[in-house]
Amino acid sequence: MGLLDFFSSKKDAPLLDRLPSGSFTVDREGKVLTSTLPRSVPEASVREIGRTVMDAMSSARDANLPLGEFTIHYSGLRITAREQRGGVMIFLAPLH
Amino acid sequence: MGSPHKILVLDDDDSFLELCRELLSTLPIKPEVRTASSGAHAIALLEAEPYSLLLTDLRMPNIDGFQVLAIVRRRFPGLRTVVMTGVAEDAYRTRAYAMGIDLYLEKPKTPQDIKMFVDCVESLVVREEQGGFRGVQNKTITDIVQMESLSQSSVTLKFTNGPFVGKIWLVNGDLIDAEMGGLVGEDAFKKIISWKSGTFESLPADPERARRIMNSVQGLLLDSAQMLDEMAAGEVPGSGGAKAQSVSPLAELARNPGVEFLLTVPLGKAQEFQHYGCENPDKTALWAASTVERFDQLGDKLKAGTFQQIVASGSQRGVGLASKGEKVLCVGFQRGRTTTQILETLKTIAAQWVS
Repeated sequence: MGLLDFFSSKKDAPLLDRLPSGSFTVDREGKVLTSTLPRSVPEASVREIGRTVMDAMSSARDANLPLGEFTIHYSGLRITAREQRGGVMIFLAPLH
Repeated sequence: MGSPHKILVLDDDDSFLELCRELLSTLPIKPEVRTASSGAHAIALLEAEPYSLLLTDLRMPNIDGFQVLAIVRRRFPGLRTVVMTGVAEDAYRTRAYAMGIDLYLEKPKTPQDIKMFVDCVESLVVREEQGGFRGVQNKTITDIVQMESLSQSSVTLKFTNGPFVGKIWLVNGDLIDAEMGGLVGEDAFKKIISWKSGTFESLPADPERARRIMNSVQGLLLDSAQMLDEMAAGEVPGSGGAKAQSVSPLAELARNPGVEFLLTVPLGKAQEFQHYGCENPDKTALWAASTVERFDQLGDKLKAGTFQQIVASGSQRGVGLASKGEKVLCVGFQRGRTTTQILETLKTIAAQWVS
C-alpha cells in the first residue's frame, strides 16, 4: 500500500482512510456548526465539502438557477446537501 | 423522430400546462406538445427549433403575454399564435389581435369549450402546414400575382409578413415594380414571393409608378420557383417559414420526460457551449462546467470514487449534471420532478448523449 501511496499524485490533499457516514451543518461563512461525523474524519475535509457545496449553491444563484438541494453521486459516496436558513445541512453516505 | 407538428404552450400555471399537453396530445395530427412556464423559456425554445403554433396566456409574471407576442412577431413572423386567457375584456382582445395573433380564446371551462379549443388548435396547425395569406387562405403569393396578372388588373398588392411589408405594382396585368425594405424591382419581387404566409391587401393602382421590372410575370415566377427550390435547404430571411431551419441535435434528447433545457459544454471552455431551450446559456454553461470540475476534484481528494452525476433541485426547476471525458452535460427539468425521476432521466439522456 505504501508503494501505491508513493505514486499518488495528490499527496498534499487531506485523505480519508474510510469513506465517512454522518451529517454536519455549516453556516453561511462555511464554519462547521454541528457534526455527527466520526472524529477520524479530518476537519479540513469536512470544511472543504462544506465550502464546495456552498460555492456550488451560490454560483447557481448567480447563474439564475436557485437550487436548494444537491445530491452528488460518486461511485463510492453520496453527498446530499440541503440549504437551510442560515446555512447548509450535509449528509454523507458511503455506498459500500 | 418527433412529430412535424410542434405546439408550444406558455402559461405560468403548471396544472393548466399539463391539461393542455393531455388535450392536444389526443389530436389526430399527433402534435409534439412542449410547455414553458416563463416567457424567457418560451423564447429560448422557439429559438431552438421551429414550431407550428404558440399558445400563450397573457397575465404572467416578469415577461407577460403581450411582451412575448411582440418578440414573436419580430423574430418569428410566420408563427401562428393563439392567446388563451382568463381575461375576457375587449381591450385585451383588441390589443392582441392588433399584434397579429390568429385567435383569442378564453381558457376552456366546460366540455364544449374544450372541444372548441382543441378543434381550433388543430385547424390552425393544419392551416399552418398549408400556408396561405389571411383573407385568401390557401393561396400563395404566386397564385395571387398570377390571378391578378391573368385578369389584367391594375392594382397594388400589399403583403405583410410580421415586421416586413412588401408591395407589388401591376398595371393592366403587367408587373411594373416591387418594393420590400431597401430592395426594389426584381430583387424585391423575389424576396416577397418567398413568403409563405402573412396578410394581404389589394390597394388602388398607381399608374404613375416608374417601371423597374422589364421581365414578364411568368418569367419571373419561374425564376422565383427555381430559387425557392434551391433555398429549400436554407432559411430565407423574413420568409416566416422556419421549416428548413436546422434542428439542434440536443432537441432529440430534450424529448425525454420533464426536460426543460439541455446544454453541453467542454471543461475549461465554457464559451464553447451548445444548448437547447436554455434561458441563460452562457451563465449556465459556466456554472455547469465549474461545478462538475469542483466536485470532481473534491471526489479525488476524498477518494470517493468516480464522479457520476449531480442532481439539484430548487423552487423553479431541477438540474442534472453528468460528464463524459472533458465534456459536461447539463439538463434542466420542469419543477415538480422528484430527485429520483431527475436522476433516472439524466442517466438515460447521458447514455443517449454518449452514444
